[in-house]
Amino acid sequence: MISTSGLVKTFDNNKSIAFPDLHVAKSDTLLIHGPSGSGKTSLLHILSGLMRQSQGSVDIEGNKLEKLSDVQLDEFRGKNIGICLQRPVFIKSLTVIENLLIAQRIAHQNPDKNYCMSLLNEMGLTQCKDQLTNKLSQGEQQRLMFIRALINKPKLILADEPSSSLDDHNTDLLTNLMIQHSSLHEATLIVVSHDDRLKKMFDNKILLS
Amino acid sequence: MNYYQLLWKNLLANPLKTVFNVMLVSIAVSLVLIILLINKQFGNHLGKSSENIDFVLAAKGSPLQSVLCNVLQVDAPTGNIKVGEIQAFLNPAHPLIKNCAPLALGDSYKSYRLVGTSLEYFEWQNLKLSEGRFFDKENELVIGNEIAIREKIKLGDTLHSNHGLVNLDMEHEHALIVTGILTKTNSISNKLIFTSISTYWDEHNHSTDSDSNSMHESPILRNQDLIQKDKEISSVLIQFRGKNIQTLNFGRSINENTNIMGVYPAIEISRLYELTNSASDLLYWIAVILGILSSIALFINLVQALEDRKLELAIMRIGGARPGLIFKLLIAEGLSISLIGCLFGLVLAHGFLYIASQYFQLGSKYGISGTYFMPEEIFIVILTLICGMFASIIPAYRAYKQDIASTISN
Repeated sequence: MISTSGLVKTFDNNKSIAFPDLHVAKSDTLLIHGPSGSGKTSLLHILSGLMRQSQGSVDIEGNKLEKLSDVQLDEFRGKNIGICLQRPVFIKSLTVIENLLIAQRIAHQNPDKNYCMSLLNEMGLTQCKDQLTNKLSQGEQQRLMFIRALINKPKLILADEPSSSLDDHNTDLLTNLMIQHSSLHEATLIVVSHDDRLKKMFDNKILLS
Repeated sequence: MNYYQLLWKNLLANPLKTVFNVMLVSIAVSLVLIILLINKQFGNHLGKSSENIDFVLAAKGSPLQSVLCNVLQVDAPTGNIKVGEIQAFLNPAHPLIKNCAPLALGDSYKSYRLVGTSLEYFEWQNLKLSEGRFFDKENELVIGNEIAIREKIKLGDTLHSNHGLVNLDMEHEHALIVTGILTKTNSISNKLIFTSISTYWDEHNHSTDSDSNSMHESPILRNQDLIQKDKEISSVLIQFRGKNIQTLNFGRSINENTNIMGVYPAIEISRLYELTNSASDLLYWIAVILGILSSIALFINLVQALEDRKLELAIMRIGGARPGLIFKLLIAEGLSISLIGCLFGLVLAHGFLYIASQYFQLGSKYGISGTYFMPEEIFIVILTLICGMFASIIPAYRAYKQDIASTISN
């Protein structure tokens, strides 16, 4: 489903990072593990099309990202890739349900309230639907961010350090939830983290050094 | 959920900031507008009040004062002139003069000016009655529409005029009866009380010489009735048959060869305009500077808001939003604040002038009302929107060019 070959990123300070090739099948999961500065986040940005690689290729279901224009890349990302950031960020002026509805609108989908509600229900957030997002607990915000990543039925979900601010219990809870629901919604899940607690939860792992 | 709702929710998310920005814009707009509206309406009022009065004959003194008094009805007369000195101009066969009317001024009722004149004045100024009839005897009055409404005066009511133009002076003992009420106009006639010249003289005869009961044999109603009287009046208003070299020399010849003064109102009014213009120009530029400051404040607030919402905008980009959408959303925010501020400013300016014109009677004195709209107001709206656009274009461009990867990494 997603494969990369010969990815290299050269930064402004002429520092280059070469990334190992990836091959992840549909609905599969992968943990990219490595210490800070190993280029995990850069790799995630390249996979999501937020950053252009200097060399190499990224192929998502036959679409070569480097061949897409900036506008096409924005559209492709909106429709096919869901992203969870290290820190949950939402549109502050909107409620939980409105954040999901606008995420559908931004990705050029018709806002589907029923689908939003079914996902909120799956993640146990139904009662929060009309709250502003800053009223939610840290765990609820992490779950909501994952719902937003899922909302446009993406083929690929990318998560950047999802457990960095969670305790052991919540780390297990969120990671299991992400693994289960990615597979349920037939999305490939790639998690980038330096958190050793995640290692035991993923069968496929790549270590960046 | 659509982008308009998102825009609205974003504006409401920071109500204090939004209200502050809207207030800045609305104060600047209302100030500019109040100054423009006052200038325009005052100019119209001056123009209308002196529309067909080409020339004024009055006692020697200040020409401007003479126009203020006899044409605009806001100053005291320069003195009196003898009927004998002006009777030639009252002749309907005069080759240069199309219309003319004598004025006797100096008395008032509750600060409304009492104007002694002839019936020709009403015909010339096209003043019609809404009820009653014009005076045809001594001690009869025709009053302006505004006085009838404000003072609740009806036909048949009697009133006592004061000597002088303010309410404090001595009251004449003779009761004057209201026989007619004029229709509403946009000119000063709304707040004037008209009577015959002979009534004026009688009032003063009674006041100054209580032994004299000499009433005039017949009332002086027409210009012709005035000729041969050995009395004094305040001035004569004149409209020429046409404007030519003779009418231009007319004033000079009067000023050089007679003891009376001839004044062209158009010249004095443009002088008055020049005098008041520098003050209103200053106010206008203060308002413009305020407008520029409010645009800068809006710009700073939008830049600040952009810093606060950098991650939010990044999230939208990550979710598939094109940079153009982010650009448009931020421009729309700036434009919305400007538009709301501008509309508030329009309401504020007209509301302020409406209330001020009610309280200080600016309407009848200076022709200023809150319900007058200028076509230029649409330009003020457009100009405000352009300012709002300029204030938001740099923050919007910065958001447009934002590097998402580095924003979320930081």
